[in-house]
Amino acid sequence: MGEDLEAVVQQLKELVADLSVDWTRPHPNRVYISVEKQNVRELGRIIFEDFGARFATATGSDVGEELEVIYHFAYDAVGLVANMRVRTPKGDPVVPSVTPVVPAAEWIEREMNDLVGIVFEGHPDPRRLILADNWPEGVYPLRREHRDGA
Amino acid sequence: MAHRTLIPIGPYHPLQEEAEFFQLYVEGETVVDMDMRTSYNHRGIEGISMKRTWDQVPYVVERVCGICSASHPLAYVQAVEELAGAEVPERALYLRTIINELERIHSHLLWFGLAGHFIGFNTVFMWAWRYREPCLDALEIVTGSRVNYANHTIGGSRKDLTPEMVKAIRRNMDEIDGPLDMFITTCLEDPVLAVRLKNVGVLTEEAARRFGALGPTARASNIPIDVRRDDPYAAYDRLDWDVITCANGDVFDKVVVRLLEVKEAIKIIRQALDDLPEGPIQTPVKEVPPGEGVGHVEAPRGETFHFVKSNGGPRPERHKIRAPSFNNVPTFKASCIGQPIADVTITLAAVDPCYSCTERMLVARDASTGKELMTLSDLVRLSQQKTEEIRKNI
Repeated sequence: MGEDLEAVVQQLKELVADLSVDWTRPHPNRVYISVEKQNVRELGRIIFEDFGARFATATGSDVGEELEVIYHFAYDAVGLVANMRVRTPKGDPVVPSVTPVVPAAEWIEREMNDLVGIVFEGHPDPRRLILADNWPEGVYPLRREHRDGA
Repeated sequence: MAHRTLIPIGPYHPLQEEAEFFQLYVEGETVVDMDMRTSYNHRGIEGISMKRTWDQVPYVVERVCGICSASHPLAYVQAVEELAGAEVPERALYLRTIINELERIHSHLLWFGLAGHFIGFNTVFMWAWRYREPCLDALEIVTGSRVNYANHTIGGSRKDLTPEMVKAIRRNMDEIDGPLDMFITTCLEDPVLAVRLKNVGVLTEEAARRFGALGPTARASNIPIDVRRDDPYAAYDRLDWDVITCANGDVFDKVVVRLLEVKEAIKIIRQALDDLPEGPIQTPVKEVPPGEGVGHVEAPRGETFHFVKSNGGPRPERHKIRAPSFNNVPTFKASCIGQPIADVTITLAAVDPCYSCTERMLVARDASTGKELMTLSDLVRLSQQKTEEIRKNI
């Protein structure tokens, strides 16, 4: 407590500098960090362990040609939400799982696999979480083709 | 080798975003492993939300949870307001604070009553629910409804308070305040409660961090997080109140945190009524520019997290909703292992996953024969018997 927002943001910026490919701060308390997918687990570890943020959740989206995952971390002492963004082409929907280094991501990665069809490589327990047992394989409700149709 | 029995709990759990199904593996009386799955009640609200206009979404998301029906819309409208750069009028910020704290009071009292019932304190159940009524009445007076308040809108608040409403809320808070002190004293001093709840279902600080635990579940494990203070919204940073934490992470501490939070909520509401500024309650928000916004609020069970993405069109391009139980429920993996079955009942209830609704569906079967062993009422009876025995021996 009593930490300074600007100092915290600066510290985060330095920690992620080597692995991030883009940094934006559209609002004083929100930063968005983009990362290449081969570095996503290491950057997730840095934000969770080295920076000391809390894992809030993640958002999986179909953004057209690509699939996107945004991991949301919170640094509560200054009310900062740090978002880590990674994208992968639809033809290769595989990204490394961050669950081995951020255990709280276990369920949300399973959910994103169900709903958006993103495969998290190295996930310790990649079973179905959200969809019913008799839901057909390979049909992802939050992909654009289903979202716009139904 | 010890005989291992499988006890399935669930799957239907209609009150929350995520339905739950627990499988407890027990040896004798002790839980040695467990597995969970959710989503027997998945309604696709994120998908529905992306087919509604920005203004319609609050009325969709307040149906994510019947109890947190003020928290979800508030998190959503804050995400949109962040994205649109909207300045919400001061009076609306106070109105939001009042409604969300009323929600916290009724939620915590509901939980307190059920927790009492689960361990055989049915007087606690009767009293807690009796004094939850004035809170629900206040919500009805203010919003017109006991649930699904339809109050938070992008840019402000739908309904204003009249001086008569202010008076009515004050009166109802006075009615709750005295009995609440009695609950707190009873809880802290009752010897049976202490034996029954202390050191039961402990969630360590380390485990709480690992699982990303939220709300009272985290605060009872010595993690002082509270979105109301950490990333202030509504009028919380203009009022005087405390974040409640406890150190042991057991069920007892979760009771204490919630009861003291009700006390703080009453304090917050009284100040907000005293300081309620005059003025408009709505800022018009004509369009939502392309971009991304995060809104999170401290719901009764912890941080409710909403993320929205706009492409400049009339509806969200993506809307992610994460209710606190999504993070809190997996903590059972840490808090239930090693517990006797009679204590699992209250441990599962301690993170407040609207547990009562599983009642009819809980059936325990022998793993090998499939023969029915016990139902949830058997489990509750087991839990209540344990309390009875402690009462006799004390």
